[in-house]
Order: sequence, then structure tokens, then C-alpha cells
Amino acid sequence: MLLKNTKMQLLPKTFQYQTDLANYCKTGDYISIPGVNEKNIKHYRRLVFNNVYDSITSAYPITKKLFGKKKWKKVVNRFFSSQKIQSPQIWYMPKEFKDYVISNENKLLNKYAFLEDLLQFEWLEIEVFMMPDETIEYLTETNLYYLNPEIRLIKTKYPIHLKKAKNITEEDKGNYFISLHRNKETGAVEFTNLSIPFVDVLENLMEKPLTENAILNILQKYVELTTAKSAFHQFEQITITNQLLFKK
Amino acid sequence: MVGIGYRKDFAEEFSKNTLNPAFIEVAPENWINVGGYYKKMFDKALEKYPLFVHGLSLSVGSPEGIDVPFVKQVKQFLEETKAIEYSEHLSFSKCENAHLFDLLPIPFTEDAVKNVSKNIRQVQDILERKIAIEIVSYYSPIAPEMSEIDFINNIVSEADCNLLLDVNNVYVNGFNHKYNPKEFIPQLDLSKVKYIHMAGHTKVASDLIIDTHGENIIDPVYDLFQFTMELMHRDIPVLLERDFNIPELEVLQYEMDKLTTIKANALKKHKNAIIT
Repeated sequence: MLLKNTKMQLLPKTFQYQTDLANYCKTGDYISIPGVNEKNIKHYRRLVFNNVYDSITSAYPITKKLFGKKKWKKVVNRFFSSQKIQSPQIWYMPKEFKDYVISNENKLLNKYAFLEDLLQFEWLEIEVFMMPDETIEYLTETNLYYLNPEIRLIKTKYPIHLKKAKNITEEDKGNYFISLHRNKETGAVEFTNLSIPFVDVLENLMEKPLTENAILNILQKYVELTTAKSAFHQFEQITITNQLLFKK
Repeated sequence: MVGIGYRKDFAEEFSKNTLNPAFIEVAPENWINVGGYYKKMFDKALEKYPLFVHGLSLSVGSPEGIDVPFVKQVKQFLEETKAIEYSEHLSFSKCENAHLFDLLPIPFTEDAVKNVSKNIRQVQDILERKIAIEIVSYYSPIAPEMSEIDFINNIVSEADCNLLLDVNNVYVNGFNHKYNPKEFIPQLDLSKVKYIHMAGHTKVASDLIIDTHGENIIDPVYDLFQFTMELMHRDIPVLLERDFNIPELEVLQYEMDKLTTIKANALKKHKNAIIT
């Protein structure tokens, strides 16, 4: 049966032949098309799939290692053959793969309880590495702490940033908070494991720059002042060095 | 002028002035809404070199038409980077609203000519500039009802667009489909050629070449380039493409120098040609 061509520009048969070729590249299931060199046409399926496979594999190296090559290739194939990739930018396509796995691959999600967290984390590394540049608007007031605007915060149930994936068990289940930011000098993405009080600090810093006193006030909701001061100074040392925070 | 396809793979070495191209070329898909380390390097390269933009995902052969919001993003990119030329492929890479990220051959048919021409005209209307459309390499025809040369010429005429002549692609197609590239090229409307691509390829079987951009240019392709330039009667920007298996940059510089020399020698035969 011929597919319906709603645009009416192409004859139904031309529309069908293009659709058949595209579907072959997606699924590997070939339907005979007139005039086609059947020996050569397989190269299109190979080239198209390899391109997609390489892009997804480079985005999720930890997940691929966890699955093993065979299982990984199968899940990439299931994604590509069943989904309509929407992004014209190939670097962004692995996000659609992540979304597909989280919504569709229940068997894998059940086997690896931390899979959703792992995929989110691996994708965010790319998103932060590639995100458009953002500048900090410094105020005239001095001694303020500014948050690096090239940042994403995530909450996970498993410590995918602290332990090797194969070693994560149900006993690790909890609440983990991670920030991923881009170092403005090197462009490298760095992650910071956060406690709840510092998540609170970063969320406030996302709204506006803060003085040290304002930050200590936030921390004092969780601990007494001496502990807050000591914890903040430790945090400040690390985060100023790795450019999560800027002080001016 | 001879330029080079700018790639992240050699961006760091490139920033040390190890290559001396007249211009650089990038795919907008790799840079739209992108920042960070490589974007800073690209911005620095843009301060020094004029930019040619060569797209990958426009898919002028798509049955469902073009992606208007994406074309508008490309327009913004062309304006921001002050791009000299925007070119795309005479192929389709999106079908049934799904991107495939490769260049699939369009059936050589009259209705496809009309569809592609309509798509190109719409792109040109949005961009408010003509685009150059590249003759792609292909490994099998798809339900052809006319010759490849008629298909290309009809589209260039109906769409009123320019032509990107990828000399290596014509060589590859001549080999794969058993025709003489030197008989094919003179049949094109050469007055429409605004840009030339040169690249290497990979022979994967005794009767099939794949256009990989992963090898050095071979002598028969240089020879076809010389033949083409002698037909042109004018200077045309030429790009060296190398996407995989990137060699030492001296090798790329050697290839660019060779292209410059061949072009200059070919154009010497034409008194009025200005060589850049």
C-alpha cells in the first residue's frame, strides 16, 4: 500500500521510494525499490547506522561499558529503528536516545535501577560542555559570591558520580545532589558532590550574588554558625579553584 | 583562494597557525547554540579567516519539505559569522520527520525536481540569498526516470540556485556508475558554479568507491580538477575537505598548495581570469 503524501509535491510512488530507502536505513529491512543496485544499497544502512551508533556511543561511554558491546548495539538499534529523531544537530541526538531509554526500555531500567541517573549524568556532561557561553554580570558592590552560570544541578537516587556503575547496589540508594559546571578557562566539565545545605546555597546564588554573611545565614538553617563557617570556607576553597564560584 | 574544512579534531594545532588557508568552512549544525572551549577557538579563527558555511541537515530532497525554524537558525548563524557562502547537498537526510544524518540519493524524477526546486526556493526566500547546491556522491540510483545530469541541470535552473561542484564526487559517481567524468562536467551549467570541493575517497570494492573524506586526494581527481578549472575561465573558491583519518597538518597544507598551483596554471590560459 502506498503511503499518503500530504504535501502533494511528489507523486505517491516517488514519496514511497524515498520513504522505503529511509526506513531501510533505519531498520535494515529492505523493500525492493526499482533501479536500485542491491549490492551497493547496503552501504547506506551501514553508513547511517554507524554514524548514529558512534554519536550515541561517544556520549554514553559508561553506560556502554555497563551493557557490553552486544547489548549496547541492540539498544541503539531499537532506538534508531523505532524513533523519529527530531534534532538536526547530531551532537544533540544522544539526548533523544536517553529520553527513549528512560521512557521505553523497562527491562533495562528494571535490571539497572540506577540507569536513568547514569544516562542523565552522562548527558549533562555533554550539555554543559556544549551549552552557549554565558557571562557573569558583576555588580559594583564588592565581596560578593557569584555562581558560574554555565551549570546544571541534578538530584539522583544512586551515587553514579562516586562509584563504578557495576559496583552500585540497592544499599546505595539515597538522595544525591550534583552540580556540573564548565570551567571558563579550560572548558572542561567538572562535577561537585553537594550536601543539601550547599544545594540551598547554589539555588540562592542562581537567583542573585550573595555576601558571605548571606551564605552563612542559609547554612545556619542546617548547622550552627561555627560549623557553617568551617564548612563554607572548605567549600569556598574548592569551588573558587574549580570555578564553580567566583568572588568579586 | 583555497580553504580548509575547520574541524575540532585539529582546532588546537590550527590555532598555532600551522595551516595557511585562504578561508575556513564549517557545518552550521556543529556550531548553532554551542559555546565552550571549541567555540572560543572557532571565534578566534573567525577573526582571521573568512567563513564558508556548508550544511548537513537541510535536506532539500525531503518529501515533507524543509524545516523552517531550522533555516531561520541557519540564517542567524550566517549573519552572526558574516558567512560568504552557504551551500548544501542535493540529497535528503530527513524523511517522515526523522533525521538520518547522512546524504541519501533522491530519485531522478520530474516530480522530485519540482519538489527539490520548491524546497530550495523556499530556503533562498527565507535566507534572502542564493545557496549553492552540491552534487553528491551516490552508490545506487533510486527509481531513476531521467539522467543524473538532467536531474541536476533542471533543479539548478528551476530553483535558480548556484552549484557547488565537488570534483571528487563527480569522479566517484563516474567510477560507480560507469561514465566519464570529463564528459559529465562540461554538460553542467558551469556559469552557476560558485564553489568547488576537493577530497579523498575510499575504494571498498573493485566496482565501488565510498566518498569518505578520509584519504589524501588521488592523482586522477587532481587531474579532473585541472580539467574543471580549465573549463571555468574564472577563479572559484576551492575547499579541501578532510573529515576522518586526519594526517599531519603539513599533508593538508601540501594538498592545499597543490590545488592552488593547479588552479593558477589552469587559469593562466585565460587572460582575464583573476587568481586569488
